[in-house]
Amino acid sequence: MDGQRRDRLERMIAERAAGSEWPPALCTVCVQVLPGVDAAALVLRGDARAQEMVSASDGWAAVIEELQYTLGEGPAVEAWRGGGPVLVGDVSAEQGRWPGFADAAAEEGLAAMFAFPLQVGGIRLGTLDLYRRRPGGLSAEAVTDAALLADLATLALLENELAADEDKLRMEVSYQDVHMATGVLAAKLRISLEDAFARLRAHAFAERRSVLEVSRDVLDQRISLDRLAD
Amino acid sequence: MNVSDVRDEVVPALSELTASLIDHHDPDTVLRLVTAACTRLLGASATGVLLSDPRGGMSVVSASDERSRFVELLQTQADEGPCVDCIRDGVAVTTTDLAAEDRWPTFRPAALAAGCRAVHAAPMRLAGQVLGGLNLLYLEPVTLESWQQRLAQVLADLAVLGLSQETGPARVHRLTERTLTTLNDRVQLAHAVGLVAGTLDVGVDVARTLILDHAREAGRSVRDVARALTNGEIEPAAVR
Repeated sequence: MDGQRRDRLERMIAERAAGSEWPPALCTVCVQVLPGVDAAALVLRGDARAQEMVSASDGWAAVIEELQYTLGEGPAVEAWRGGGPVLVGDVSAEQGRWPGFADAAAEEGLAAMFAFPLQVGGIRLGTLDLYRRRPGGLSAEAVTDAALLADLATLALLENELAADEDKLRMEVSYQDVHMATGVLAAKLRISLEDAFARLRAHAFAERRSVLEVSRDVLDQRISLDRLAD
Repeated sequence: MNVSDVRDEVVPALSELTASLIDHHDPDTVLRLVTAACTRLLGASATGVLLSDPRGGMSVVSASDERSRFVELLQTQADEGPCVDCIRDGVAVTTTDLAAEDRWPTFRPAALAAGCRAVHAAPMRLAGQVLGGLNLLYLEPVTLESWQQRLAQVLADLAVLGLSQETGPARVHRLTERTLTTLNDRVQLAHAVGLVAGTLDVGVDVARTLILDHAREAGRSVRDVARALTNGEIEPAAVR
């Protein structure tokens, strides 16, 4: 049964894309086959900082994804840490669990979210994140399909590692600017990379901006570093 | 070695290894059998396998005990030692007594302090490329006869076959680690670029070029230089 569904999902992705074009196709298939799901994003995660968005079905998904990165919390962060799917039918009811994310996500129009870890044995590579504008859970069938899609994404990401450089995936959003700004800040303020990253995040949170925007300001010297000193 | 040794020791050890290879066992099993054969047939007190990393540097993929892991790590850190020479030149390298050795000024005293007295490193080659080296470690001075050195090479060749046959779960596992390593390498390089840019007050493109140039001039991998910059081993100002 799962084998047939898996084949069907794999065919759907293959029909929409060839070779390294599969990530956007996979996100599109998520939205098409999973009832109620409005958007999807595929994210590679090494640790709390090392993160790259492989693809997203639309700009809204990318915004929610970035929100989690800025805040360092949310269903995807938890799915990646804990290793199991995190299914949240009503994000606004989770203020206790994710105080920053619950409010900010609701403001962006997110009502429900489902995050599935990309998992190989005990190692987790990232997450497949699904978003809904209306509250409500996923059906059991949809959970199975989503888990199968997460598995297909995992295997495709691993194959990508074997591809020649020019055939490798281009990440849709990489946080390279954040990492470079972290380095600049650490050097200028003579603090550790960890502290520098924490300050970028805290500043972004306080200003209600994304950590990527703040980082670009740091790199382009549009922001006085004194404002990040504490 | 007489006929009964061949019958009782060499044949069982080699047949177990080749059986494991044709049964498509995972590389860990093959490496474990190679290690056991090095001990049983060649009297090594420990063994280790170093593989050269295509991105630069070397990594320890197998070690029979903590001492050999340490001795292997020592070679990768100091970037010198019998196995490093063996991988670089693609030929076996032997030291019969480290105490009387004048090569490897960093590796030699540290290895001696760890109780290692003699080392034989056999290259692991595949299709004309040196993939790594098999190290036999001894706690006493030792001179390997030529048949013993050839047997060590046979075991190194079998280890290569074991590694190149990697299939199934082991392959997936290795690819997973590679994916994460690649991701983390990108982060580390970006951090290093930022540190250099912030310290020297230059743009990130200039900083990146400085790091790449520094790596080339120092004969180190970019990955290595990025790591050294982020852990404080190299001062950011030093790449100018």
